[in-house]
Amino acid sequence: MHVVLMLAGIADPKKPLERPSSGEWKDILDTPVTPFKLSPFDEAALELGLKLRDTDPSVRLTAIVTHGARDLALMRTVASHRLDRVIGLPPPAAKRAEPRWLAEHALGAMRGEPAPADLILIGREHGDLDDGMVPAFLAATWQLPFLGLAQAVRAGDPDGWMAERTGRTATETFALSRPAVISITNAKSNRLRHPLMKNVLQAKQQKFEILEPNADIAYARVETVSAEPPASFARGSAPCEMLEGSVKDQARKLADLLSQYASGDNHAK
Amino acid sequence: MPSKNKLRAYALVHSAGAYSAGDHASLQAAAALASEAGGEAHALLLCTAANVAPNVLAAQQARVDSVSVFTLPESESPLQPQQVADLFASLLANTEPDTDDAGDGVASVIFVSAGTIAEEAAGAIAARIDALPLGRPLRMTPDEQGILHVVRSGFGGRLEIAQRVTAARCIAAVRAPGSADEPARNEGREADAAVRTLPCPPLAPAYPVTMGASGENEANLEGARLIVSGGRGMGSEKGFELLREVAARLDGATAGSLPAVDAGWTSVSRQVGQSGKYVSPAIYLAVGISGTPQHLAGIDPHTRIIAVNNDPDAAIFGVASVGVVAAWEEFLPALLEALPASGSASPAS
Repeated sequence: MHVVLMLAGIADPKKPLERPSSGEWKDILDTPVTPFKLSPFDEAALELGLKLRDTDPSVRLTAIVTHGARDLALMRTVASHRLDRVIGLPPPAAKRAEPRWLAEHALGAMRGEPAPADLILIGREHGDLDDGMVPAFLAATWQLPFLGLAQAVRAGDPDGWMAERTGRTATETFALSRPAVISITNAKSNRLRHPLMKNVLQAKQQKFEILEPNADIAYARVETVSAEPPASFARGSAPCEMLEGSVKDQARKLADLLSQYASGDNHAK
Repeated sequence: MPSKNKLRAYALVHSAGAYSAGDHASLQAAAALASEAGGEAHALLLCTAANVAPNVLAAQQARVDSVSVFTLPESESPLQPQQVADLFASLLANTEPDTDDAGDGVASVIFVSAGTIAEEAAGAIAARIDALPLGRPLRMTPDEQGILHVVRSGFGGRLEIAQRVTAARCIAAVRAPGSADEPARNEGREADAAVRTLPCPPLAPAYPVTMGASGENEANLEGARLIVSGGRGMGSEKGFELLREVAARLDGATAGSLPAVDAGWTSVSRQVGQSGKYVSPAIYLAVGISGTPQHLAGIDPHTRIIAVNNDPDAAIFGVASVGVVAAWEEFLPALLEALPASGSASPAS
């Protein structure tokens, strides 16, 4: 059984976003300075792949790392989980917001594998520019069944997948045929494990294969014109009114305020 | 100088059960963009028979130029996103071509109202009709040449990215404007759109699904006037029990930040932020939440934030209107003691 993990680095959310040396924020797409990390969704996708291999040691795991594939530390992080193959597929800056490019070339990368994919796991958002439409786009382009926001995946009978997610009113378990694309959201049950030290050391020696498809990158349906940090929130323009006094005093003042709101008095201060 | 491009806006509305103003955000966005660009706006509706009339009325009131309806068969199970995508792709295939009578290009901008199912369907629709998915843009403006300029939030809300879109077709998710936002820009448009009802094509089979118990017995986030939310600073699930109690006292709903969901203290369906739900209550009581841009991106700018945090330097105080510096372990029990008993805080309805 072959499971492909589609992973995209995101600019480390715990570090300030660094302005590119050109001074132009839009160049962050081409020359990122902030180190890449896996998003919690991609970590969850990776963990679910590892869980499938725990259950069936014959599972082959391939990771295709797109954004951040040139960040050696990110590639080593992925490789430290002893995957069968880790491939880099960095999209050119002009194609960062173009999932059609990703669909075409990720499929090309998968075709180079010894076995076709039975399952493609992807975080619910792919990289720093996706709001969540990319996973469904990829699945539809590849004409594969798709389920979004799953938190657990297991092999189903006879040749399918069972994927579980939290719906609005209940947990939902879907049966999908193989091959399928499943996007993963974060949950306590799928937090990424720590890799073994020997695998971390092995990953440090690993050479990574970076695919650079010779595609026409001149044509783009979307062009990034500029990028800037957002202006301060309007709501932050007035100073915060800090409630003073003992904890009991503060609690009483806040309880009064909240009770007025709950009773529909929107003029409460 | 190139001639002005033409623009056609489509609003996709899927309404099978109860619906709210938020479900009609796509109608407002399509009419507004068409009005601004001097183009056309069309509503494409998927409705059960019982919902056709109010949704057609909503489309006409939004002043679109035409309304096309697929009447869905009554069913106990809601449509799954791939089925919604199939039907909308089929409706879009029945629309005008990408060139006009003179052979000039016409760009199509397709809107869905923001929401998990609609956005998943939008990704699939984009692939089916070769449209560029734009996610949830912050702003969309056509220039004098009819080229669409889009501002999107990226990098976890830390950058606003301006893009020039030359795709013949693109698709975007939009939210209902807040009460303090500008009114919809649909001046000069008539509320007399022609309506055509089309036979609904057969649905592809749904994926088999088994429903389990949710274990949740709490108020919905959607439409809540007051949300009590916890973050990493809560440190454990125990704090969330207190948050639920506070929310219950105030007829509110509970929510959490991504780290809180990650830790298993609350459900992913209650995650607020760039990657979770977008909420617009009157009050957002944030407890143990530091105030990252990723989290704040999920809160309507008109919502009043009240922050409780033991770190006086927490970024949340920079955007809150009221703040309390205290440890939640001490503060929440004191707050519960000070609050009226459950249900007595709000007037009987």
